[in-house]
Amino acid sequence: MTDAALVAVSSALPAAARAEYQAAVAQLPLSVRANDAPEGAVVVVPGAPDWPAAVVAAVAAGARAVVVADPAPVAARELDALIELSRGIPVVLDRERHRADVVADAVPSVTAPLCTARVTASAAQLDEMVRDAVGWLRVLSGGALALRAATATDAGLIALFDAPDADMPGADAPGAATLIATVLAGATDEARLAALSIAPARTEVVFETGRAARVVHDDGTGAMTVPTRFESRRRLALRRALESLLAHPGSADRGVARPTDVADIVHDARLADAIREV
Amino acid sequence: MTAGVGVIGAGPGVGALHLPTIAHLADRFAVVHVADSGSGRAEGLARRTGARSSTGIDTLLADPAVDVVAVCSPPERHAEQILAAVAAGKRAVLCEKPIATTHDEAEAVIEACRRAGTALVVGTNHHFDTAWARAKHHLVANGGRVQTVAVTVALPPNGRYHDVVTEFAPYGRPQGRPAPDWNDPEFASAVVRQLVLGLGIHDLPALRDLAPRLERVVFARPVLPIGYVIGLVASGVLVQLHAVMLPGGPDALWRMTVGTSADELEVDFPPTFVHAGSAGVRVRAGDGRVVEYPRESEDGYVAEWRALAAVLDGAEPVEYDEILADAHYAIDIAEAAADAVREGMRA
Repeated sequence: MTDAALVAVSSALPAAARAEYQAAVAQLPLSVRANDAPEGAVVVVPGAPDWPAAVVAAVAAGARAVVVADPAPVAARELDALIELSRGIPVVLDRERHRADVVADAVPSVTAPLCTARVTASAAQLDEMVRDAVGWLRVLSGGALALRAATATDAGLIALFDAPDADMPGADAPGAATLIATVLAGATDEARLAALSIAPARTEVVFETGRAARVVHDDGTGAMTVPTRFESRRRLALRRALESLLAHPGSADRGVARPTDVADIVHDARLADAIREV
Repeated sequence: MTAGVGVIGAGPGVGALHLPTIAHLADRFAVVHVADSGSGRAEGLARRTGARSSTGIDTLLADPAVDVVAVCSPPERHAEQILAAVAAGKRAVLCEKPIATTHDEAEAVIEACRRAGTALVVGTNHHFDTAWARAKHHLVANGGRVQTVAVTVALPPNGRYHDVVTEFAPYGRPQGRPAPDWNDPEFASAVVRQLVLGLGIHDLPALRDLAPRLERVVFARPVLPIGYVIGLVASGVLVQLHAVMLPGGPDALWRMTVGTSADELEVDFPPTFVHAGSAGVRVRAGDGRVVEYPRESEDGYVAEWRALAAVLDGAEPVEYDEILADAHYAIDIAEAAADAVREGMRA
């Protein structure tokens, strides 16, 4: 029987997130046990703006894997140090609107010639929402994007990306992906992200504050709503870190595969930065 | 009193859209003449209503039974045919969008109609959809500043909708067209221009209501197999227009989303050709509330013909200036988008 893995939840996490992670530990009674020290543990660090440094510090303190709770938007250049690090140590990013299980549910059956994403959020949430919307365009388009044009005002932004080639007859050419964001006045917590893949089969992903993510696939014979993912994203993040360790308990020297969370967020952050700088 | 309608054009839009729509309003309109440009399809369509048929426009315009001319031919012929209808002394014209494909033609059409007192209604069914009026009222009443507008159109082939509203004789089926050469910047830009004036134009009058002054096109590119994406700024509002015509798949998606400082308003239009009532309007407020307005039973196609009836009755004025402004706006966007496509492909 495999020994339970140690999980150390940083005391620096905001109280609500800390409680959620402690609950997630309790929801994995056979797989994990709580520990105070980072050495040899899966360490959960807060997603405050210095989270890249927190990841580095956790690894330096002996973490076997790191989970970042709600990684704040940071400039892509601040993530460079994590790219190499994450090749050796699993780094899981617990992003509210980019859960790995929902991503897997949403991957379209065909690469579409057009994907769109729409964001509505307060100014305070806009950067994170734009980053996440870019991530969804990456997922629905089937690969990396390249910014082609953008413009922004204090009320929103629009952007056009080149996307991977579509794989449908008559459309074997680079796809297009667009992003539009609207800033809500005032200090509301309400935010919405809707992403759509448009092909002879359509896929739509919707995130709304306080609601579970909704994924719908429609191939023309009917619309299929993917079952709601009831597992908490905190538990999912821990489980992904554990699974990465159990499958590949060694180091990067063995050429093992790691979660692609860091590479994904680097892509998303670079394009979000580029939109801001246009 | 029933007005006699002469229909110029015998394509799918006539057989599947205008003839069935006019039948909804049999107390006000009767099709008395149908003319094609040489296809021979007019005869079959005219037979449905006991109307006369002819080739070309001269016989139709000379027919004293024709009070109202419905211009349903290819867009590049609209201006010429409206002018001919005015010259023939017809009372009214319902012209499928656009009224013209150039600024000069638009000016000439409106000047002629205004001078002759010829009533003119443009068949922009989305503009006449009662849901759009409701959406506009919400935007005005709610007080939020319009900040973004996105229109997303994803269309399967129209045949599935033709099949539920009409029947075509075998020779009446639309012919396939050769695939566009999207690698040629001139061809690609011309097709995008044509698509904006033929497809995007459904929602441009509504967009002009929200953002009347085009400032610049930020990006425009074709989307294969046939379509476009356009990003522009108008009156400080950020706008994205998406359209793609697909070989199959789900039912048509035709959605306009307006983002304001306070909420997000979504208008979902039913597929073209069908009589499935008005669009649906849903509003998501900044505090998380969602309001969904009830749909009306009457669709925009019937509404545009009712608008023509109201004009004939003298109950509504002809909005010549608005029609002209809509035409200029659409042509401006089409030309700016075409320029952006051409420049982008040469870069």
